[in-house]
Amino acid sequence: MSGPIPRPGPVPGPGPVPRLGPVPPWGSGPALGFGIGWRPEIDLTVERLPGIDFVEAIAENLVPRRLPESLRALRARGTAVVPHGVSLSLGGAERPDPARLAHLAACAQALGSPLVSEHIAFTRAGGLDAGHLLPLPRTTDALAVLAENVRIAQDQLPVPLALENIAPLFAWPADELTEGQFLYELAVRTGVLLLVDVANLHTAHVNLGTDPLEVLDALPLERLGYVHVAGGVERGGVWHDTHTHPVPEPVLSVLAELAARTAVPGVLLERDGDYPPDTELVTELEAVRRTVQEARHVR
Amino acid sequence: MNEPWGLSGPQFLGVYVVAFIVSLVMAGLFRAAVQRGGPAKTDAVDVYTAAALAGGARRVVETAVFALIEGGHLRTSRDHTVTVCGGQPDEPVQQAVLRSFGLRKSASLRQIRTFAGSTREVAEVSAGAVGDGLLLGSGRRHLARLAALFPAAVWGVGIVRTVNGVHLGRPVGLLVFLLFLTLPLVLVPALAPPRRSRAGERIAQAARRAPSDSGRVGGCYASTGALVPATVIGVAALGAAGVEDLTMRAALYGNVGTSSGGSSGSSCGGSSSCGGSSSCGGGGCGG
Repeated sequence: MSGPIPRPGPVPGPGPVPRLGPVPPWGSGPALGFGIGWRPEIDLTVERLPGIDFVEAIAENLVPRRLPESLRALRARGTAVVPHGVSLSLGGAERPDPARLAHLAACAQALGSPLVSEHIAFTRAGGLDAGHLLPLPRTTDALAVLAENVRIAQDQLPVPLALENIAPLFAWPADELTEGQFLYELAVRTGVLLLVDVANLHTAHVNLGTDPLEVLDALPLERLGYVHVAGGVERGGVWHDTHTHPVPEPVLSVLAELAARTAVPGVLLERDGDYPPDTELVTELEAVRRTVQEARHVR
Repeated sequence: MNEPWGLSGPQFLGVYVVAFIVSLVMAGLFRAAVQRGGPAKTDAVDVYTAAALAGGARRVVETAVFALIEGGHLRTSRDHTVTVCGGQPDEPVQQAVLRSFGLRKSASLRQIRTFAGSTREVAEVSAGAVGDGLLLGSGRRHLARLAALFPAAVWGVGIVRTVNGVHLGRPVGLLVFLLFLTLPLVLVPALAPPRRSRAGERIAQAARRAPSDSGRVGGCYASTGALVPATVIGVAALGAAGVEDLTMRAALYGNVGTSSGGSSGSSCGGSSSCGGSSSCGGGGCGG
């Protein structure tokens, strides 16, 4: 991509985001607490960080019959492990790959996970793999395809599924729904839990002009599974959700807004490289924890 | 009186054994004299000198790596990878070890030993110990090798006797067997001269006995005078066995000297929540 991405104006169509109907009584996700993304490079660090209630492991990197010793140690002490998929491509026109679904299910069973998570995105089409999480056109047709794929996935999974809003670098033309409406409809139609990535909301704000608060206002917070927090960097007017930079203040502000609206079942810090010293990770986690706790007082 | 050299075969075997034992004693005394010679520092040594005495440059690097882990500049994971976390230590040997990573973000302990072992700062630790009379310099080590001449001389007489016996058609089987048996005792003094002086031996032994006594052996950094954590002193004195945290020991050294497993069994395929790229490069993660 060359040069800054033009920021589109407001999504045409609906003005104030409407609630499209009552949320079915599926209930929210399990209480998770505070966590961090488990990665092999920081496995010992994660095991020894104070106050970690749950971790998330990339499902594609796991072999259910041969789990990493670190994850087994975490499970043994009662830390929940959530398999986080990155390749189901639920937003694609093709049906979810049964083998990938079976793998995600096997990870959940091997880890005794309370839920699994994936992305609202597509990663491949027509035999080609993008190697990246690509945004969906927010149309009713795309929503219908996504919802059907999500139902198929839910049928194959032994635990609830939570889906994450991705960090968009671009949007498709002629979106029919706002991001909030899209997420709301998805949750209502499928009962899926929402993994709200507040860093990705900030990314959408910088790159596409999306108002994070409007998205939060539209969400069926009863369906909140948990929350992702991560750092990034702005270059040339584009926010890059790098997961290698410290969590910036605007991302914590979105987290505070979300925590002020509802009891957040879990918040997880994502780091995927340039891992800082343990003390900095502890400081970041404390900042996340403090943000949520202070927002609770506001609520 | 037809026996060669006036000794029967069994008599020569007895003489050979006694003479060989005497030669070994003389070799030991010679080595000890070489180790004792010259002035030596007797007061407390810094942690890297203690490491150099215990395990050479390799142990110096291990000690610095462990200090860097304790200081938050490096971290290790269960797959035995040591990763740079950032920050700059104020101690030169640790700085050298960090610098030796170059552009690498991570390496195994074995790799770090290789590329940090040849740095000037690490070499200076050993050179300093030689200067203090705690390690033997190359001249004294070569001198100590001469201790092998004592058993070699006896062994040489045995060879001559064997050749002579063969020439006379006498049975030499037992003597040949004895020569094979004693050959390693000839080679060891020649091939493995002592590293430490007598004073160096005493310090290394004291460090092994009380590795966590930070007031004594290796209790400070020579460059800064700062106190060294007891855990780091333990690595300097004992290497892997000095890491009391068994999980950390297995992560850093593998399963050497540990009872717990060190292999993570991880099948890291490189994926991350960045949608398949672990580097997150230019476009960000997306997830």
